[in-house]
Amino acid sequence: MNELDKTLHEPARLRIAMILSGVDVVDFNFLLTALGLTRGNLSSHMDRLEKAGYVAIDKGYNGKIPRTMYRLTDEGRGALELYWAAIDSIRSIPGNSIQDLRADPAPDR
Amino acid sequence: MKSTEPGTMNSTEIDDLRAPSHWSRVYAQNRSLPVLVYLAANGGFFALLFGLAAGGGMAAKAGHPALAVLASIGFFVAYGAMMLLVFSKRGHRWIDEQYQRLYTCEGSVKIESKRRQRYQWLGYAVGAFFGTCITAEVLLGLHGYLPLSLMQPVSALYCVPFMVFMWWWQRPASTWVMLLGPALYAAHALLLVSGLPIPQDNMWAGIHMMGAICGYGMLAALLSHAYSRYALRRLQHAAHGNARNGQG
Repeated sequence: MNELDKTLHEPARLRIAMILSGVDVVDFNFLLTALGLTRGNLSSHMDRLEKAGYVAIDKGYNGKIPRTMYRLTDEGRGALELYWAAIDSIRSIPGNSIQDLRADPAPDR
Repeated sequence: MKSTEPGTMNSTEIDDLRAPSHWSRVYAQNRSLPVLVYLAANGGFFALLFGLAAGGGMAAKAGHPALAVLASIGFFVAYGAMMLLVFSKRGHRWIDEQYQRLYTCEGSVKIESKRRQRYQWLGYAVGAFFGTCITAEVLLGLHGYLPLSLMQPVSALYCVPFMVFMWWWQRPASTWVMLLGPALYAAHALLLVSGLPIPQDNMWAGIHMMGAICGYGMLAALLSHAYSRYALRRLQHAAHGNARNGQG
């Protein structure tokens, strides 16, 4: 059975990665609009995804306003595919509920 | 049904987690407010081109060659400016600025069209062909070689493929909703050919062509904008849920 990626097996981070997988580039404001997280919380999740190599950050300016753009890296895209493959393989086992995913390994907070 | 234990997800919630990818893409493809600005600008250019062509023709007939030459120069300057807006990097930068300005509150989200980046020359070539067709048709119509009743149907022969090309050229950044524009323009042409009693004098010929191109395009852009609002709601619904579990 595939092991679940600890970085992605956290609802907020998984949602961020899923949003990024549907498009090419997003900025911090868009993620705030879509997710409804606080700035600090979103920032810490983005740091975590960047450290894992799943997200590339591009800091720039829109006129005089600083702007941070995020892009899912190839590594992140691959990790997301593996994550869903692991989830699907777990769900395909008869009698396995998704709560079992908590047992091994626990989501990394 | 949501699981009660923090950090756990039931089967439905896991399926919900796949939704943000779809709705973020739909939302990004349908953010069409800049298209409305773009079509309004193009509509202005069309009106200017039509006015200059008609004015030049009338000046020539009335025996004012200087005015006719001036109108012709104005026509080609306006035509060049329109082509710059449609195909140049500067034009794209202007559209991008409008895009950023209109969506400041919601933030920026983009899907890049690799085809447009890779085959920019194709855009120039098709744009030049489209411009040549429209110029030739307007000149033929003004000199009486093409009946006014056939102006719009004949223009549909190159406008519809051009609009479909523009849609294809910008894939995957463009939305299928924008295909409504060329579909309505083709339907308009078919209705005119089938003999629908529609006014066909000089002014109406212009409205059938330029007005219809911009009007149907703007209608499609408005519908696309409405769809983007729906997609944003669905995205927020899908992405808000357990995202709060990650707070704190």
